[in-house]
Amino acid sequence: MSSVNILALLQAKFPDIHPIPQPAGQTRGDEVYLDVPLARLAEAAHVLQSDPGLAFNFLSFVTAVDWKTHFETVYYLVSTTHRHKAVLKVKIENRTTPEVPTVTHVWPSADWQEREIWDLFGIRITGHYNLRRILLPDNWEGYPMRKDYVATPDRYD
Amino acid sequence: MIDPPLLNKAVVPASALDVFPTQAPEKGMFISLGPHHPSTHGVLRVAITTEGEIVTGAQPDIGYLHRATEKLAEKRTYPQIIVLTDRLDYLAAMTNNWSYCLAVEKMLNVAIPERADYLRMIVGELQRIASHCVFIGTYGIDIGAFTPFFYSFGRERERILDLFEELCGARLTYNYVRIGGVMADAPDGWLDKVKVFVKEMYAAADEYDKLLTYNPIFTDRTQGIGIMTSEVAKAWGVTGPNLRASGERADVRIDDPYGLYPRVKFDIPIGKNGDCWERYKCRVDEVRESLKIIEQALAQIQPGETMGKVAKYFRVPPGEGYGHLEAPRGDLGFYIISDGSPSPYRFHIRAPSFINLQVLQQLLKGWKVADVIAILGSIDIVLGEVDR
Repeated sequence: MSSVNILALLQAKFPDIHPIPQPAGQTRGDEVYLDVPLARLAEAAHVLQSDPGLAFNFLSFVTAVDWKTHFETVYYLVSTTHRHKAVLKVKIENRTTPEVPTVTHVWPSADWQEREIWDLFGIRITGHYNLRRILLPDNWEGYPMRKDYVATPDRYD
Repeated sequence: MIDPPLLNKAVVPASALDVFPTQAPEKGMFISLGPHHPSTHGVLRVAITTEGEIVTGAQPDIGYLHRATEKLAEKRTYPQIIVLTDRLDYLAAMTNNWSYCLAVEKMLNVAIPERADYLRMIVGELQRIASHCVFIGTYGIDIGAFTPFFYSFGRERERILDLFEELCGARLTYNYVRIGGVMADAPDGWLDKVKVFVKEMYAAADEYDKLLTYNPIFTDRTQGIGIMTSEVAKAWGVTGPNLRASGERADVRIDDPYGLYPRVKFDIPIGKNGDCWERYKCRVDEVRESLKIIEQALAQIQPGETMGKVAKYFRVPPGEGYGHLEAPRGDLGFYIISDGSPSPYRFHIRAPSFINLQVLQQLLKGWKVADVIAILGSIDIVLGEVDR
């Protein structure tokens, strides 16, 4: 399905979801980039997965980006039935206590990847059934993938 | 008691999975498998709770090999990152290099010379064979067959590594695929050596079938064990041979073609039930398909340039790019955000081993303790990629 159709189907239900235009000089694949408001993510995820016209049944990856002023989570979705792709971007304005709802109810594959976001970025995934650090030790201080993280010097520094 | 085949037909909602167990449940036992267990293929720990002989809960515990690759990449220039990607899935460094270069090339919009693309395809498929050879050998050991290891790991894989050594000087961390092409052209006579190897590898693959694939002891331990339906696999994000064994014809080489794959003909081996044996069988069949691809590439390759027009010092235009390919373990992708500086602003790895491993939480439930190693081995993970 073309990107126009995906957008039309989605905007009929969520008028506040907008496409992210391609910046000049940038080359992108055939994915549709969508700007999803934080409050709409849980509902939108459900529709994206269950709507027969969209049928995004495969969540390829989830990640986060620290933009210094705010955080952003990125969801890369693939539909194996319609062979189309979409990238959801969710802006998290609150930098002191960032929170984003889980999508594990819709796509279980987000499980560990969301835990990784909590582990490395300190973005709390609300509703996650098992939100613990995954790569770092449980007693680690700070969130290393944040841009303002200062590494504790060790004996090699 | 839980009926295993029923359990793994449907996707268990995340909320129904257990959180990390640290002690034995009221009725049962707590087993800590690893982190130093010969069958965990590295440093992986699985916390298992059992009731009698049946596994009631399993939580993999990872992170023992975490090296912060994503953070390190933020401080390095784009060509320097290629060596970091070598160390992710250290059994398939060529495809790691290639996948990363695909993402950067997409952002830079450079054209790759045809010969370089053919060389990439040849080394990529050789790497797939080498990686599957390790799987075939080590999976045999997991089940209790020691001999196939000497054949696949000690004989065929070694020959591929010798070929790679001749090509780029390294045996494991190649740094061969570069942004815009490949490091160097193949030395004189190298392609002929590959041709000879391909011919002999067909016979070796048949030998694996005789030794292991249809060995009744092996099939008894693997057939009908660890069944994963395609719904379960897709929901948990499983890719690569593990997904194809469940009957899903999903392969990045076909679904989202890259390089010169549209020019070659090959089949995608798929399974039916998605049990341990089919996950193994898919890989053996894939070895044969890779050989077919190499044969065609060898027939089509022409002399020419091996490096595109890429400046020695370059900056990637601001924006984002995602490049992915079919690595031996699944869909390996690199998501890069550039702010126009010499190093990426954000560098994310979609690591297939990491994402494939999560399904273990559901997959192990309901099977016997004796099957745990068979199921874990059939997922084929590399801890370097799981922990990054």
